[in-house]
Amino acid sequence: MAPQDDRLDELLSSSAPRTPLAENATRPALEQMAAAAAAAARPRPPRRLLAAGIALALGLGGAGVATAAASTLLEWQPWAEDPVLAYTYTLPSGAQCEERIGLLETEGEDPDLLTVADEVFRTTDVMSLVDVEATILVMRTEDHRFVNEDGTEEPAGYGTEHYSADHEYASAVSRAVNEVLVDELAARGFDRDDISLGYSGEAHCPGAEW
Amino acid sequence: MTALTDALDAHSRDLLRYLERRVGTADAADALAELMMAAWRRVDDLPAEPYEVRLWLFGVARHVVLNQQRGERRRWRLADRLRNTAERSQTDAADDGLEVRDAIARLEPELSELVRAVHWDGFTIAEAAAILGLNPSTARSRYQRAKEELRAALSSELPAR
Repeated sequence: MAPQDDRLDELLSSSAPRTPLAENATRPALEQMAAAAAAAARPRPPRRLLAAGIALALGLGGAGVATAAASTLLEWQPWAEDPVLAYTYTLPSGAQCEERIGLLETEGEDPDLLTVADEVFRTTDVMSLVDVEATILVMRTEDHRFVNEDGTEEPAGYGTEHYSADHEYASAVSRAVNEVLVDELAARGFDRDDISLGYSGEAHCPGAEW
Repeated sequence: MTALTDALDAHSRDLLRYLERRVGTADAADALAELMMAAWRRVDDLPAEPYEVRLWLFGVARHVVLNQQRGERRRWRLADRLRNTAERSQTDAADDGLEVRDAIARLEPELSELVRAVHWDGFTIAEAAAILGLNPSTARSRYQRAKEELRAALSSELPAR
């Protein structure tokens, strides 16, 4: 190969943008994401089967994806029998939700994070601090999609036929609680941009109109 | 279903790298989530051979990139953890090769993506053709044309022939 060709190949190959995310992503995070995608892509039962309850997996920095709990509607997962945080709220339909948080985990190296987070989760009256309405307004500016069983997608969210006020409200509560917990940890000296903490949540909302 | 699980476990980092090079670090986590969801929705189309599965996944990734370039962006909850990593990774961005990337970007789109697939991702021209849905001979002639145009555009960086 001519020197000019060699140099051109070298230039082209070395022009690849750096990929810090791909280099820093942990294998568990990638595997968990793939597993969550599999669960989320699975065709969902008709809404009436979900109407009596839903289980949510939440996360500071993300721990998972919403999963239906149609067959075990009022049975909590074993960890949720002893949660670090539990709260209730009322959906627009009038249905009551009870949500429990637990299974705190971290991939960071700060030895104090789990201890402090546990204390924050157990002692913070999150529902007195959340701003659900403001969170809903933010969510309505975002893109929401409904995935049909054939894989096609349609607009979802506020103003569409797929809109569910209960689902929107429950999602907003989860996000707002997450934000309150981040605020509380930041107030205790943790860098809010570097909090590596995951947790799981489960919510039961009998009678909700998803 | 197990075959796709295995394939995603084996290739997710390479797929993420592919996406990050095209949509940027900030949007790469959501792009990977989009890819994984799309792959699971199309799992019935999964090829039988592992080698073909890998190329098939990159073909799905290619569609995700095109969708994002058309302005279709979704924010996925399942990308939250990875997104958090992305936020911490932003400061690591670098501009090495900016001029060359610009030259590649100025090529016609069907040429530029071929060059990226070969030189950034390490695919052979035949593999890149499969990902891009091209006939291999068409891909070879386009690749040669792309190299000629790049040689002219980057002549100041190259030794005299």
